[in-house]
Amino acid sequence: MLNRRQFLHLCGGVTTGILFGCSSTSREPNYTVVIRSGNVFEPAALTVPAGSMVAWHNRADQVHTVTADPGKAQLAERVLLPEGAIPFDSGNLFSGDRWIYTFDIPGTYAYFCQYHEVEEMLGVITVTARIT
Amino acid sequence: MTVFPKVDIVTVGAGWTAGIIAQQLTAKGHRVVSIEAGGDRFANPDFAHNHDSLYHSLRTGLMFNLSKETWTWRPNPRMPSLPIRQYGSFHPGVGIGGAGIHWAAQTWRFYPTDFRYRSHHIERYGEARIPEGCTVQDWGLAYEELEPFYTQADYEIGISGQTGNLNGAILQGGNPFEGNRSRPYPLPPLFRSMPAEMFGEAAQGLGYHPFPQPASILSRAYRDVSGRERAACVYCGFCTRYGCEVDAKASANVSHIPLALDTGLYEIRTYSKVINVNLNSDGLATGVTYVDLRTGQTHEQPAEVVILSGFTLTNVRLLLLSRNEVHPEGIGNDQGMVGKNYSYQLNKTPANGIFEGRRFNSYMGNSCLQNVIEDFNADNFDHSELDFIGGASITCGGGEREPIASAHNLQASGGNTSPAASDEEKPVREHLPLPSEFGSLIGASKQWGREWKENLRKNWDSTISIGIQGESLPYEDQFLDLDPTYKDAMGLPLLRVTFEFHENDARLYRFVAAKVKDIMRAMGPTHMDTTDELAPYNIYSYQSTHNTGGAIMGTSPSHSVTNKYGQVWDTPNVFVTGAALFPQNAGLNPTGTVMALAYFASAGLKNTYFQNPNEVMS
Repeated sequence: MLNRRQFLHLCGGVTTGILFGCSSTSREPNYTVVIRSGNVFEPAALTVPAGSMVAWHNRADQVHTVTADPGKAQLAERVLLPEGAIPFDSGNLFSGDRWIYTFDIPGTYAYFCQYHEVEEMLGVITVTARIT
Repeated sequence: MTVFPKVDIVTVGAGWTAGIIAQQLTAKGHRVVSIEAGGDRFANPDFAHNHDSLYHSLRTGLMFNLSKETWTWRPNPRMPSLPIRQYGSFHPGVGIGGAGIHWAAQTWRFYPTDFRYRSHHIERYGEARIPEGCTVQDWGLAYEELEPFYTQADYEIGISGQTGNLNGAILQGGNPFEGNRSRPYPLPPLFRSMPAEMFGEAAQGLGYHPFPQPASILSRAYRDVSGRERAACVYCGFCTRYGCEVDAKASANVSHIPLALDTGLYEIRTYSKVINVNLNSDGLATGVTYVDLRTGQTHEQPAEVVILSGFTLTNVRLLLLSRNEVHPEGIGNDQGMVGKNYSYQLNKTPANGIFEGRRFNSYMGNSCLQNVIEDFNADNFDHSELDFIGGASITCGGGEREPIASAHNLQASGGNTSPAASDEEKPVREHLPLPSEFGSLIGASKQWGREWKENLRKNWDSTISIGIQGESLPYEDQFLDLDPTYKDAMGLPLLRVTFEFHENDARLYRFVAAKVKDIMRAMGPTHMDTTDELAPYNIYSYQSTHNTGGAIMGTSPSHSVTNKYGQVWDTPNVFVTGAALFPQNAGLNPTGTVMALAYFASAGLKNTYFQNPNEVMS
């Protein structure tokens, strides 16, 4: 898994996920998932139209990740990605950090926190077709 | 007689649903009193080191005293009834926390199709597939409406499990058939036993979908609604029929009741038995009359709202016992619906295997260490070419095989004994296990002497059972009413249970038992004992305390006793909670749904009812 420094370095690259503050984007995220203490993504299930930017805001005391990468999962089959979607991983999100990801491909994304995968710290983003 | 000051709510009993309602309503400033027939008991000190099998398992120490009140049973309306004088088929609890103290804590959500059972089956298979005389109904409450309250229970209580469906995303490793969850389980599943893992591998090899049993037992330390962090399960193995000594197993005593008591607005009167719901000339309830069992004195507790929150059979009996000129046949019974749609379950063990030379440590943990498949439950599989509707959970790997309690209770021998032989070659047991067969695993037919002791020593911890929990449908000839002959210690009529399995049950069992046999074979036992056919219902062997119906919810007074809130149609300041509300029973443990319904009723009471008292909520 990437450490915070590595990820900060990467987020200026090709990934569509950005740690708040390191990107030159001027757009604000359309949706926010709050990470709360107790190992909870809130809401755990969110439906958004394609093209939406979703922010994860860690308001818990502990470090968490937002990860949809079967290669980084203990139970790889529990990660879901639509065909053509690239696995993603926020890297470490410390208390107060915010991370943004843009969902372009419709389908179901099931993600987890790498530190709390077996604690049922799961979330699902359902991306519907783009609103025209 | 003492007439106490009027309160907002009086509940019958102080178990799971009374505890939830008391907590939810006292938080809104309402004054609540619970009248509880048993005593008070809490983890500390009452359940400390309480590993007494004789008291708890064999003498059912936490249950009703059947010498004071019991139930009568008959298989059909043509037969005479007799009182149940020893515990067998079901185990209702008494005392603060009710059966929610000694429960196994297997916690489920019913399937979306369970809530619209009749409509769904007619739409998919046609009305002709509803068995003759079967009175299945829709609940008048959709899964989607109840889902937030299931989730509230998950998080306020602390439920362990592996998510299978998060907002429609099917996640492998959980139950792929479950309805949409808005949130995952707050806690991971408990550890699985060795037999559970073996079962899981065998089931997966056959193309099924095994997953861990969801449980109201903490797999990790957890801060519940009370704000207190409770300890995780220590897998002590003394669980069902016991109180939890470390508070890992959820109960109203652990969380909701202390929270309600802390408000100063809640009171529980113990050793006090409600004998009547009092009515006025408008047909509304005015409170309850109860007997202080320690003094024999009768008292009255007036209330704006009466909640029947005892065990299913207690609630139905009180509805029938409480009458006046407005409700001459009892509360909720103006249209003759009280007692209807009584249902039970098919809780059986179609296959037992002996794995000679293996040791499974099955004395550890409780029943929630098991794996489950739901491939043949509810309408999770196509019934088009089958001769029945409904289904059953298939489970394997529960622990808590206490040495003393299980020694007399090992599965009987007989039936099919070799996993290799074909079905045609095998004898099928044609009778229920005889007492002389208990404890004999490989053909021995007695439970004494050297041979039996050797067998017990060799095989006691080498056996694995696969169990089923099957649906039970309601029928016209299956109901609850007041017994015309037998009375309790106070001279009040006992409740009469008229119940027998029907042909749909026998067919369902035959189908699921064959699946169970396949799985057990795939697990590779050295000996195997199967029961291929459903025996008639009996009241002397424990099956489950999942008695349901008798005060069912629905959409109209002509087909139900209450609305979806459990509010009695003809007496709208009386509410019923618990499994008495189920129009039919599912192939799942009921308490998860009972808890969700209690939260749902609480929301109705605090957000709607008290703004317009005595009005039927829509």
